[in-house]
Amino acid sequence: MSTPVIEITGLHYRYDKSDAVHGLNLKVMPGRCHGLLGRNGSGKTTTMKCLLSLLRPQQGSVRLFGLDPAKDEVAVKKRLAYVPDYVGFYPWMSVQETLDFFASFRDRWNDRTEKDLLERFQLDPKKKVTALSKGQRTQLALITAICPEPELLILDEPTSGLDPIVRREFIETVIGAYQDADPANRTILVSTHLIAEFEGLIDEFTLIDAGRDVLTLTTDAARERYQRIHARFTDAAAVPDIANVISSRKNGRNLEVVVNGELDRVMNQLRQLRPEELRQESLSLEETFTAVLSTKKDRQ
Amino acid sequence: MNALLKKELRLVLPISLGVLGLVCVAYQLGFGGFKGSNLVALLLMGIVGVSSLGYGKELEHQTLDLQLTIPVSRRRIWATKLIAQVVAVLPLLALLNVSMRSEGPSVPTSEKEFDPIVLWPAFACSSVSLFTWKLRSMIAGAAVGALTSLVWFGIAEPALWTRLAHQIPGTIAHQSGETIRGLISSALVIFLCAFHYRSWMHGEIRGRMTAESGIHNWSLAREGGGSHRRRPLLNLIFKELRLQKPAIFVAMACIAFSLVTYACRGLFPEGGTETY
Amino acid sequence: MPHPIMILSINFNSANPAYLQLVDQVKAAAASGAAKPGDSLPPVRQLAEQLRLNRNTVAKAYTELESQGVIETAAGKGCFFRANRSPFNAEKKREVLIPEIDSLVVKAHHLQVGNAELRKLVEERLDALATVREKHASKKN
Repeated sequence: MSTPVIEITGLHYRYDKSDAVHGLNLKVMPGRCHGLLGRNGSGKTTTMKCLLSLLRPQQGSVRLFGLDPAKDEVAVKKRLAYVPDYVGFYPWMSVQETLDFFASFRDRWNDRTEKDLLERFQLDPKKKVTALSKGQRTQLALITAICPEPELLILDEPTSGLDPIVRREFIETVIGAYQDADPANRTILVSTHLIAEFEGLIDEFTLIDAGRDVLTLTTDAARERYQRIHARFTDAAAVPDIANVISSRKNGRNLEVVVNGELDRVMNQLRQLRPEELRQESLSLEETFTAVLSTKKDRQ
Repeated sequence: MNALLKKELRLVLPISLGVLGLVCVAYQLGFGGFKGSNLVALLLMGIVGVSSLGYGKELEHQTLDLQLTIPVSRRRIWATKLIAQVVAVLPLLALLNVSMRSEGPSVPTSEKEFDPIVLWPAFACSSVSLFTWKLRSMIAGAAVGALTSLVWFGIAEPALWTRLAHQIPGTIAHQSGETIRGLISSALVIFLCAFHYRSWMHGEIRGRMTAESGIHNWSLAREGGGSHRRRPLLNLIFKELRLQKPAIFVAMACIAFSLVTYACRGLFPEGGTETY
Repeated sequence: MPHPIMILSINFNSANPAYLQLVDQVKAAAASGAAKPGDSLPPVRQLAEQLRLNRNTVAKAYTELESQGVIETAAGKGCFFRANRSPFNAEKKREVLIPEIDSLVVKAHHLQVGNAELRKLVEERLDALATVREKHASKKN
């Protein structure tokens, strides 16, 4: 049984009077791509910061590669790379100088990858970083994160505010240049709101809400569990009420039900009523996100 | 030279040398010797400003977080910043030292009472605190500077230590015109040293550097009710001060103190020697 | 050899895991003649990038396809479609198909599709596939 790359247990953090994180648990095994999904203010950013030891947990434990990032700061940071949502660079440096600066702190730096990525993104090494567009700065940050070939790549809202082409290239680069190099040892943690875009990349996820982990599943399991059923009946009066599901909506002769793992029961129930049409489909990751977090709110 | 140190110096040195140049130009233009308040004030502002650059610039460029995720320990980052900052402030301190010797027998550092004015630039030589509004951290950061300055002047003038040993208690007990100033300065030094360890532990930088405190609200000063919405100009001023120029505030405090002590000296005519 | 034109896409609204969707689509391409034995598949990395899919998902699909005998890997050269020689014996083939057929039969029952109708439908689909295969065969010539 290999050591989890990330293991957070019972994390608590509060700012002054409010609890940002309240008993969060998270576990990511090597080689996985884990999505951290949550609304703004759900404690996602705080969790990320605790992971990177920018904040020290008040309670609970955070372990990266089995080590405590507060105690073995350098040992942990050597094995990970971080791409933040806002990328700041020193304005007097050029692209190449920035890369050299970051390379100087790393034991390993793949020059070949650096060259390939600079070419792929068409970044002029001599250009000053202040002359780069936001997309280009993110690309530069990605290069500084990938070239040291870290075991863990942490992405924090990496594609927010970028144009669709740059976003695409970003994901392609993460898959190709990072993941493909050593798939068993390449772990990704990505925190994002652009869920649909990362859906293909993420193979498991954790939903965070109000500082707690609400749901942790693989994407395959989630698609099996959360499904939407459409039914149409011959008579509006025949449309039933379905209980114990995430949501149930009637519209004339139509019924739309969103289930949480009880597909067969509901399907059977509906079949008996002989609907005109009955079909099911899975919720996409974004739809699951909305469904699970909306119901939580409703229940409170 | 390693990349981190190079970067730190690049952050701080240009402004330091700029201030130096400015002061020299002002002297050339005849602003009456370095001991004239204007130039000292300028130097002080320069030192204060330069001291805050190490972390202030990082905040400005928003590179602080990124820096803390590269595999370099916090301690090394902090030490490198300190080194760079000392290097940047040294020319200014040297100039101050030179200027105090350059004008006649009333130069206090060579004769009589230890002039606590030499500690002022050092107060400003703070490594962490000058960009937060927390009073305690500003004070404590200044204490770091005080120690640096004592060391500096100790090296430049070894006799300083003996003088200090005599002068400070004497100063406290004494009645000359300089005493008021001496008293205030000594009290401040003690106060600062006492708060040093605890107090630099505040503000966003310390929070990052020790991964403890939370994120502080850098925007408008928080006030009860909606009253702050009706004072756009004032709010703008507060924001600017808070974000970018806390150094100016401290510099103004330094100047104010200098002026106050200057005025106090006038109240005790038997104080005798003119310093500035 | 250029890659055959296979429109591969993942439907995130399907309950079918992504890698299985890929497997099915590749098998469909082989079955319809769009991909002939000897045609190459894009390398794992390329396909993953193209579909913006986790690289391991694509790798899993390729592994599955290989174990089912649909494709084979030549070291250093890539993956290629195999000639349609199923490695399964008759017994195993029955074992694999029977659950699928049962599932179809049950579904038809629930939809109230009669036996004769179902048989006609199956014939229809078999013919359709044959037509597609013919079309692809004639296009390649």
